[in-house]
Amino acid sequence: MGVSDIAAAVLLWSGVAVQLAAAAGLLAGRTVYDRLHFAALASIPGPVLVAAAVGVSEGLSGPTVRTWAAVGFLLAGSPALAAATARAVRAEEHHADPGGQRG
Amino acid sequence: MWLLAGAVLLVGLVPCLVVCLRGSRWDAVVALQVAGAVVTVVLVVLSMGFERPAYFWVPLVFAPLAVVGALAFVRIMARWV
Repeated sequence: MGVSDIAAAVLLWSGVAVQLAAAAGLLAGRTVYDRLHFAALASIPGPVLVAAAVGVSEGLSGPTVRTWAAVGFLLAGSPALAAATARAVRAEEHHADPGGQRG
Repeated sequence: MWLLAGAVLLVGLVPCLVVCLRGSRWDAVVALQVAGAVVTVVLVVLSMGFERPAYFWVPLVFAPLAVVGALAFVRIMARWV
């Protein structure tokens, strides 16, 4: 087992651990805003670690390029998605409580 | 190693399902976002495990669909407010 294999394994299992932690955080979160933080955790560092593992394992190749393209969509889209979700939830809270009693 | 990692990652979909079933509708949308990210990574990892370069097109197609689909849900649900 070479150095690159070990590096790929470390990156891969780190990414898996981050993804599982994000999924577990969904259960632990109490509000939608808490859960949105874990959605960001699942969408950014986890996929980047796994894509890095693919890059280390395969080098510059078609699978690596396609993997980074897929992760790129997640990296580009998840912040906008989180912001849109938070704004929509806030708008609904404001609509239900215009006086802002619940802050 | 890759196939084992893919199998372990599939366990991450269970919390998403639980939140979808038991949480509010906005919690379900967030769970959908997490599930989309997890499934994208699972598809990448399984593609590596099966050692078929053609399989890597599946996560490349799925990732934007997951993001756009979740965004569509948010926009439609926001209009119902």
